[in-house]
Parts: sequence; structure tokens; C-alpha cells
Amino acid sequence: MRPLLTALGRVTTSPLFKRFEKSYSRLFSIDEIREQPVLQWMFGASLLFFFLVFSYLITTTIATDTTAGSPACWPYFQNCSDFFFLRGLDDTYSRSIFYMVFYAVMLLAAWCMAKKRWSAAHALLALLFVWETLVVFVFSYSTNAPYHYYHIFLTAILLFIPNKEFFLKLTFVFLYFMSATTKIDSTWILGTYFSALKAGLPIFPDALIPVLTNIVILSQIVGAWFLLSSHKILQRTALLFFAFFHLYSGVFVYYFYPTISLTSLLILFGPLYRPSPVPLSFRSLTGWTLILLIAAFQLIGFIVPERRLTLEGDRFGMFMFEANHQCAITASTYSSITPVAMYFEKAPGIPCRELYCNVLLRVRPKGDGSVRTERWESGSSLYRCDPYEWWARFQKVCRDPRVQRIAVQFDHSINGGPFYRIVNTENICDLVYKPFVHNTWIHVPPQAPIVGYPVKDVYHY
Amino acid sequence: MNSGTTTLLILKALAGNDPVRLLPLQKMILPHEHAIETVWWILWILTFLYLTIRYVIVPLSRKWHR
Repeated sequence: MRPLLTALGRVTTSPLFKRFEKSYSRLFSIDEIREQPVLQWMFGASLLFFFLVFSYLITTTIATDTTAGSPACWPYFQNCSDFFFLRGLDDTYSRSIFYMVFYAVMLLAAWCMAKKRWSAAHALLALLFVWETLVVFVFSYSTNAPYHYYHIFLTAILLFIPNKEFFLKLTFVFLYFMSATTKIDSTWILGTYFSALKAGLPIFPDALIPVLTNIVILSQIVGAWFLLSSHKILQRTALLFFAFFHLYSGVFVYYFYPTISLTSLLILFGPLYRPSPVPLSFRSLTGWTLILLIAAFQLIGFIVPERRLTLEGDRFGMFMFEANHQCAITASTYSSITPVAMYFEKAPGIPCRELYCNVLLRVRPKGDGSVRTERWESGSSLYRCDPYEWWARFQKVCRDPRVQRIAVQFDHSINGGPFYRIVNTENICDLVYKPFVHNTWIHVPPQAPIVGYPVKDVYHY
Repeated sequence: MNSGTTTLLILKALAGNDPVRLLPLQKMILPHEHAIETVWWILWILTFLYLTIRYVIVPLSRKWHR
């Protein structure tokens, strides 16, 4: 061990390494981190969130070969699972080993931070950043959440953008401002997300739901900007409001979201807050470009007007609590598989404790083959009921040469409204899902007929 | 399958947010929903324009004219 440390010490004190470190430091404006405690705290906050994200990833099949059978990819990169290289514990230990290496990277980053070796800490954090960004934007889809976007955008600024403190604060506020665009519809104007829930709104009486949801819209459009104010009372009032907002919303979203949002809020706008001048130099161009990218990322979701019902483009931008979803999917798979008669149906009224549950399975002979009919129903408003996910799932089944066709009916209700039959096809295997446009096989009213009304929904993970 | 009346969701007799089941305040707001939506969008656009002009465009033009 000692010779290794001596060799490492010799490398890091060599003139060549010093020159490299200096260039690296200049390229990523690391002096800003050295000089500003607020950025050092943000480093810690970002690292904490990496720990949270990776401690989840190590336990799941996300970006792991075993998920090849599930709809894990973005619509713009539908074959992402071809590039998975990790395996779960049932195959090899590669996923656990991979994430334990990241654990060591996180420990080392924390040590470098404590020793104020900011260039090294920066490089280590950049490694974590690259993997999280790949997982969120390339290797996974269904499990992505706005808190990942928050973390990726803020960490990108911390690592790569000059005028870090200013752009961290502006981006944080800008994300509120962009989140408001998701809320300007009946979900939040009427507050139907919450009134459609059996348990209603936590703590506050249901009668106040529309008042409170509209206060949130106002706060995100106008109030959030007071976080950047030099007027102490206005700034502190905004801080207290959003601190309460994040603690309150944690009742729904649990620890992930407040761990990135509340910590960043307190670090950037709490006791260390000082108004920053608006940088307008050439150096600030990268920061302003990122702000434009965030705006584009949010607004791209508006390409499809009925996206709440069709879910097309729904995962672009901050999509938290965009609508309260309920769905029922019925699929009949016609195949040449020799039937084994099977029948199962869940008794009415039994609650679904998962995000969705299989409530019916029936296999019966048909000609030389069989028909397998299955029905799934959603169990939580958190589940987005995305037709794309189900299309992708059925496409995997379609690859079996014994499968002749799969007839699918997809019934979707948002915010306690009617169930619309948005997909009704004799063979989903023939359909193609296109990103960034409306897929005409996903119907919207009046083309999609009403097939029923939902009972009150529940919210659980 | 008991078509349309199975386990958890589709119970035609029990409407969720069908207008008759909305809260009194929601019923009051419902006819004005689109107007409120427009107001929020106008406020959003005005806020965006005000901040961009006040904090980016004006300082930039001053800088260029100096």
C-alpha cells in the first residue's frame, strides 16, 4: 500500500500533472468552487442525491440486461436495451460490482471535498454525473422523475458552467417557473388531481383544494422570482413558503424530491444567500444556453395537445402531478400455442397494492391454437398509464413467432373524469409508435368513446 | 370478465369527478376554467417578458451602447 501511495504522491506532485490540473481547473471554473462556500455546500447536496439515486439503482433492474423484456427505453431510443451491459444478481454480480465502484467514487469524492481537493472532487462527481445522465436520458424511461432532471441540471451547472452561483440560483427558480406550465390546466386550476383521491389533500380540508392549487400556480409563476430578490423580507418570505411547500409535498413524494429541492433551496437562498449580478459576458453564454435548453425541454411536451390523455411527450420537462391517472388494459393474444385451460379473476373490490395489477387471466382453445385474455388495472394515481409502455411491452410478445395477433383495449381516465377507450385495436403488433408526434392509433375524444367512470383513486408507491 | 363492471375501476354508477361529484368551489370555477387558464398563461408570458427585458435585454443594450 505504501509504495502505491508514494507513487501516487509522486504523480500528483509532478509538473505535468500540476499543469493538467491547472488547465482542468480553468476549463471548468473550479476556482469558483474553491472560493465560494455556497458552491461547496451544493457539492455536498449533489453528492447526497447521487447516493440516494445509486442506492436505488443498485436494487432495481433499471439499465440491466434483465429488463430487456420490459419497456425501459425512451420513445426516441426504443432499442436502448441493446446497449445494456449490466446483469442482476441472478446472473452475475456485475450490477452490484458496478454500483459498489460508484460507492467508492462517492467516498473518495467526499474525502477530496473534506481535503479541499476540488479538482479531484470535481472529476469524481463528473463520473457520477455521466452515469446518472445516461441512465435517465438514454437507458430508462418509466422510472424517470422530475427530481432526476433537477439534479442533472443543477449538477451540470456546478460542474461545467462558469458563473456557477448565479446560474444555480437562476436555474432553480427557472425550474419552478417551468413547472408552472405543467400546472396550467384542470388538474391544478380545479385541483382535480387531489379531489379524485379517496384520501383527498393531506392536512388541509378538501373544500380548499382549488384555492391551494391556484396559490401554488401563482407562487411558481411569480413568487419564485422573489427568491432572487435583494429585498430581505420578500426574499425570506419566498424562502419560507417554498421550504414549507417542499416539506408538505414530501407527504406525497417522500424523500427523493425534497433531498434535491429543499437542500438546494436552503443552500442557495438560505443564510448564505446574497444577490448576484446578472452575468452578461461572453463567458456566461453556456449558462444562458442551458437555460434555453431547459425551456425547450419543458415546452417540447406541448407538441401533442391531448398529452394528458395520450401521455405522448408527457415525460419531457417537469411533469410532477400533471394528472391523476387510472386505466384498465385488456389484451387478447391469439397464438398457435397449445392451450392449457386457465381461468383467474380477481374478486371485485380487492384493492390493488401495486402500481397496476393483473385482475383477469383466461386461456381458451381457438382453432388449432389458443386465445389468452388478460386484464390489468392501475392501482395508484402515481402510475402514469402510458400507452407507449404497454405498446412496448406487447411488441416484445409479438416477436414470438407463435403469436398471430394481440387485440388491445386501453381505457384511460384522468383526474376522475370518464374512462375513454383511447386504444382499440385488433392487432397492436402492426402498430408503430413515433416520438414527438401524435400517434393516430391513440384516440382522443370525441373519437375515443366513454366506456365508464372511475371510483375514487388512491395514491401509493 | 363482467364486462365493464369488474374489480377496481370501471363502475358506471360511481362517477369520480363527474361534474355532479365536484366540490362546490370546483363547480363554481368549472365554467370559468378556460378564462383562468388564459389568465395564468398571460401572467406567465408577461413575467417572462418583464424579467427578460429588465434583467437581460436592457443591461445588454446599455453594455453595447457604452
